Amino acid sequence: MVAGEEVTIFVDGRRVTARAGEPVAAALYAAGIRTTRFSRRRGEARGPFCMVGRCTECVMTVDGVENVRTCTTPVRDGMRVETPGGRRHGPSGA
Amino acid sequence: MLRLRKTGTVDMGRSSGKGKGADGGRPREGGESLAGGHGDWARAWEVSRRKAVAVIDCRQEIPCNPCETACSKGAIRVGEDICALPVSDPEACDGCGRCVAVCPGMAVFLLDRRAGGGMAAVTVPYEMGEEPRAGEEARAVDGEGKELGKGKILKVTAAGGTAATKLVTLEVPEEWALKVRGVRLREIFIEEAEEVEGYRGAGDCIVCRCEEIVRSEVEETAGHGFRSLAALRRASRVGLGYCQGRFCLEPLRRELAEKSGRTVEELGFGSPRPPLRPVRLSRLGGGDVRDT
Ligand code: SF4
Ligand code: SF4
Ligand code: FES
Repeated sequence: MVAGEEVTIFVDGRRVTARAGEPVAAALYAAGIRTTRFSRRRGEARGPFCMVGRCTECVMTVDGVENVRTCTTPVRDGMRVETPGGRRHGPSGA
Repeated sequence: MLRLRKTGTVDMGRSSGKGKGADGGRPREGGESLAGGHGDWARAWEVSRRKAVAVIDCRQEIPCNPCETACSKGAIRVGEDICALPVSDPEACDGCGRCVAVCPGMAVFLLDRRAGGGMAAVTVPYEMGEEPRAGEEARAVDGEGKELGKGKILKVTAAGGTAATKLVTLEVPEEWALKVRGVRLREIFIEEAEEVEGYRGAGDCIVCRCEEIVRSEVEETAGHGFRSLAALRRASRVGLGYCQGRFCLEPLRRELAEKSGRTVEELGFGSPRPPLRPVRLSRLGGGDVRDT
């Protein structure tokens, strides 16, 4: 893997181009996706907040593993990233 | 190896020693901090008599290292473990200020005591709209935004960092030199009681992100006469989520102190236990060491 090289990840099935070495949350942000999950109690859209792996607002299901902090997880070619519990705000999710 | 150590330190406001707590970087008291700590302030203090040197006040073990990559002298080391605290080498530093400009946490400043006479030149980043100008006065503020006093702006440069970052060099008495974390060009009145009240009344806001507890809920629960933080947490679930209270415990303690008439010290702390963040059971069993 060369840092900066283009890789493809799949966000809720949608193809997103990312840069090798960047965190998943950064790739999502660059692709215009601001929502990483929906809160359990109020069902509100949530997105990265601290960007340094502390707040857990950015957790998603990555390659089948739940509760992965996307802000501190580097992208990998072919990675599958899913909104926990599914996207409820339409397919674009932005 | 498990990576818990690097990222899992939760100090929860216990600000003794090398505080790396959830407090966002409170300044250490000037004198006592000279005894050492990360980045070796004592050496920087000595070396600053001969030249301008970078002093690092980075306390949270967050994944970050622009200071290291910005330094062409190799004077700052974070190392392999990106969550490690940066360590500086004042002898190698040439005082260029690049690290000051790039640090997203405004955790680095330059110290220069060459002028002597009990005065020091401190260089901090400035990113607000107004134009700081050499020769004018500015207010030096500490890490909590409290005003230390006024000083003369000696120099303003636009060194590195984002386009908007300026480096402002302020002349201040040596006594505050290690406390200055920013400059302000005009007075800000937010400390006025009514304004703070007005701001608070502006609407409900989330206090605990993990458990989705808003301020009014905390106020209501706190109003029931809980005498300890632990009791408040049990009753409301505030601070008991994923992040273990990294973001909410300090505001909570203050809120509860106000409601209960006790001091924040009397209220005690939370009692976080390892693992300090969600960890897959297989990792604890030694099976999977990926940092997911
Ligand atoms: S001031 Fe310049 S030389 Fe000194 S540590 Fe910072 S980047 Fe390196
Ligand atoms: S750039 Fe700033 S916040 Fe990041 S490690 Fe260096 S001193 Fe700490
Ligand atoms: S944004 Fe806070 S943990 Fe990822």
